[in-house]
Amino acid sequence: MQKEKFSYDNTIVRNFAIATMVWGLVGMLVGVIIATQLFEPAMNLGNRFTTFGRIRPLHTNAVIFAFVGNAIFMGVYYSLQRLLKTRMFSDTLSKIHFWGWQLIIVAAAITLPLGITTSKEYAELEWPIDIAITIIWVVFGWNMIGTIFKRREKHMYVAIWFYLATFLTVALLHVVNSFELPVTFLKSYSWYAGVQDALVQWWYGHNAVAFFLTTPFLGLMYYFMPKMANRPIYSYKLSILHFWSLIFLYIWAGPHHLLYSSLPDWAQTLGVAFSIMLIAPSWGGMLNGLLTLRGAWDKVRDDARLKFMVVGLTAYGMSTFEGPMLSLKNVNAIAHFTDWIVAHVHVGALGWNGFLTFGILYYLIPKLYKTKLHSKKLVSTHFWLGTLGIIFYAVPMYISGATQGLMWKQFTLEGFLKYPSFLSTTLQIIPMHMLRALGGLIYLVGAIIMVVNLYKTMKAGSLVRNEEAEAFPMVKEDPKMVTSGYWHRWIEKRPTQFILLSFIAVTIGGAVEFLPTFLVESNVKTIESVKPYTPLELEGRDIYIREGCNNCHSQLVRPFRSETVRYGDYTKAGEHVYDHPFLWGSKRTGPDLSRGGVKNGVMYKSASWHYDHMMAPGDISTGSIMPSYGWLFDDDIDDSNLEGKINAMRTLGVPYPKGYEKIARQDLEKQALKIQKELIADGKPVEAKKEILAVIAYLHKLGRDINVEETK
Amino acid sequence: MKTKSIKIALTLVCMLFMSTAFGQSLDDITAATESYESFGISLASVLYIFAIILVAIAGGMLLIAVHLKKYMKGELGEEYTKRQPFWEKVFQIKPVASDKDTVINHPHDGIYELDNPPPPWFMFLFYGTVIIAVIYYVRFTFTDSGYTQVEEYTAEMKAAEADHSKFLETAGDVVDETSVTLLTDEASLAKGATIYDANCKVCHGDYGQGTVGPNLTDKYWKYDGSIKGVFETVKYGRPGGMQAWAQNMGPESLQAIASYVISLEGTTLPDGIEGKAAEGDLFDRSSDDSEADQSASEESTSDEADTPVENE
Repeated sequence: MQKEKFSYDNTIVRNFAIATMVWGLVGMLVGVIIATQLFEPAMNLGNRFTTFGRIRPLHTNAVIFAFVGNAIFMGVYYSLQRLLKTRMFSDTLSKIHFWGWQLIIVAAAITLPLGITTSKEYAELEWPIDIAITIIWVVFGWNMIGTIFKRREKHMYVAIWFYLATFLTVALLHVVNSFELPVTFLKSYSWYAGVQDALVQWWYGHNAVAFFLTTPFLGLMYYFMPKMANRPIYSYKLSILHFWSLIFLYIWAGPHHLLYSSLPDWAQTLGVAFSIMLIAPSWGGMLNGLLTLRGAWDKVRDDARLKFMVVGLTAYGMSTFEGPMLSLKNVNAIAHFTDWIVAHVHVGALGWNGFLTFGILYYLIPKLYKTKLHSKKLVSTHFWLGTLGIIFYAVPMYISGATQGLMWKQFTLEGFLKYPSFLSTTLQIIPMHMLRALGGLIYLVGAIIMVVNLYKTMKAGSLVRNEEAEAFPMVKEDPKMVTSGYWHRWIEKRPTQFILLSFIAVTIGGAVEFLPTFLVESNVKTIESVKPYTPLELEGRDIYIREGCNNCHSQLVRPFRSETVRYGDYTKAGEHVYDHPFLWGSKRTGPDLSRGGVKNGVMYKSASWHYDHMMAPGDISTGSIMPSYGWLFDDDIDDSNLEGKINAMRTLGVPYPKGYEKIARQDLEKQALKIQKELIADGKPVEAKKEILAVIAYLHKLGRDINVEETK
Repeated sequence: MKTKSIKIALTLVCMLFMSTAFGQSLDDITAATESYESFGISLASVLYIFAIILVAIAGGMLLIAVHLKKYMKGELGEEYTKRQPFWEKVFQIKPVASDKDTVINHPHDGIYELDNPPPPWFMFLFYGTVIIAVIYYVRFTFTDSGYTQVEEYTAEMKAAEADHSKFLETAGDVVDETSVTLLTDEASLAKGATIYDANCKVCHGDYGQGTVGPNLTDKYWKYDGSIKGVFETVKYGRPGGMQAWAQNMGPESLQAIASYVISLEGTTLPDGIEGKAAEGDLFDRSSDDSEADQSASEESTSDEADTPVENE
């Protein structure tokens, strides 16, 4: 048999590598900026486009989808061709994929600061961008599966299993979670409401972590780790076991983001149970990676790239152990809503995704440019800076999270909250926020050093655009493989069956959790007194979403004494049936707001209090880290789409009477006028139809309806 | 150069842990003591365990450091570097020497895989967590021994109530309305302010300007304005909406809040905050030697006795 000659496409790998570096710096820089805003609110530069609520999503999106996303594609395009002994299926598809993805990122970077957002975490982008993501993702999958079908290597290596699972599951997650009803070109409402929306969102959010930040990187690890260390993978059996158990179990664990919420108990318990089972499958990847270094640990001493890989895998092991622990209800009760979670995700993002990406970049760039690294010493410097950065980020955040979580729960012997003022718990952790920003800065400096180093490396070499290679054409069966006799060998040779089986594995968990929650009425008990939002409240809610208030304020009171005393009655599923989307939030940088409209409640604040507070939060609450929202006093409520909004809500099942959209604007003006009068009577001058009126109306709606029911 | 950078790094790490001391007050430390005690262990034993762990970690690190230094210098000899590290034995990992027997002779782009079984403890962990998860799910979803989150909440509230009544019993009448004196020290007033923020401002306003309840910043009092009178008002409540707080706080807190309320008298309200119109009689504080006639002031407002209690 004759060997066939062909070439690998290196240009596309190089392009993704550059994109990884550029977006990585951008994402981290935005991260450092918002970190400083959490102790010095003036760092929002006094304008709405750079205020925390709007650019925190920019940070998460840039890091997840731009930095890590491009790194995934870089690694996949490099390893896939070599593992399958063929060029990518289509250079054109590769190019469409690359430029399409960059355009999506640019669109995100423009729309998010403008406040164009769906508010759903890690899925903030509006519907036209969602569609673009779907198309580009399909292009990626098409290109990848096309490559698999024209391969010269019969067996798919474990890395490819992970790539396939990534493609399938992310597609599924994105499409299901992005179901939304467009109102205008840049505004839509989530198809789901309240607790159902929350379930879908955290099924998505949790599995975005699983299938965008974990499985593709495990695939990359399985290729680049043995390549760098020049050692065999420790256990093929372990690969099989942990791949299938990981993808099957991961999908179930979403509800652990909603513990003690109004999600039905059975679903929460399911989330906890599956999270516990996830420890071993997650650790399988770490184990196989670290054990690949067996007999090669001396190389780690000299090669900083391997140091990155080792610390990356260790960080993965730590955060995948911590994840199940945080899913235990008693741990979650303290950690949820605090900086603990922020520490947890950053051990994953900075340690696992960041360090693996750095290691791979240091390996790839010299190979693509057929040259040596510009400076090995700088790689080492980067490694130590990065590690120090992670420590300075994570340790203060753990301290801060535990401190605040416990302070919230502390009662005096007489039965009062020891820290009734939320602000006092915030002030306690400010020094930790400062150290965290320092940690982020150190990490960023390390990344800048890497980019300089790699730029100089590129300068010194020249890109091998098409790398020549040769391989035998695919034979029907490799006789050696037949004898090794594993059932898994069978499916490794059959991409279609493989895709089908993994798809089944990842759909089961979601289906079991969704169907009862959507179909069985008793899971979401309705409360009769809960009324739809008035037009002004609806506009206020949209402003709340635009400003990203949900990034710092939760709207979910958990059934704990410490929360019902601090905020008011705990949250019921029936309260949120008209909430498209839900706005429970996941972090309490500020207090919970869901009882802000309960008139005789602890959280109620008068209209004039809100007026003063939005104008200058620090004047009302000394030391507050909330920025001023001056523009709410300057801008008119944009009710030009009110009719469309009412119609859209009605389509989604909100019982606005027929023809209400025609008179909605009158209602809006009437209610705004009432609040305006109230404010003027209190000596707060405000012009009619300013946005602040809508925001006050919305905040006074929160929890109001359920209170009526109780006093009756 | 290298030692210098290590020193800098160490200093930074030390700073990191030092910073936990920021903003800690004696209060927080007592609070911490309380929270440990609620688990049935003393702070001393926690610190003791913590110290043992620290010493163990430090000792272990020292051992490793000495060993590593020898290893790096090659002092342990060729033999040593080739033999299986002890941790591989501990974790039941197959030795490198066995690789040639277990390698699967089918590389992918030069990457070989070994046909080693997953370590036994890993399988134990895997099946163990599955069993735990199943038991957990069955217990909390299908059996009576589990509880829902609402049941958990109810139990928590009940326990808090029981603790509270026990506290009120044991706290005794250290101070009561016959012996109470006006506190003016800063700490007591701050304590009073905290209690006020949590409980009183709903009806008396953020600044004591009065909303549902009367204005506390003017010099007029519906009931006895002396410390004894105010203490009594807070403790037992008054008709017309003033709630009785005896069931909520101990005598020392009642004294602090009563003193704080008196300290509000005559304060000026911030701009834009309008005080509620005065109610009751002018109270002459200078003449107050805590001998004011309580029955008289009570009679003067007896016409309100029949109005419904709003806050209950």
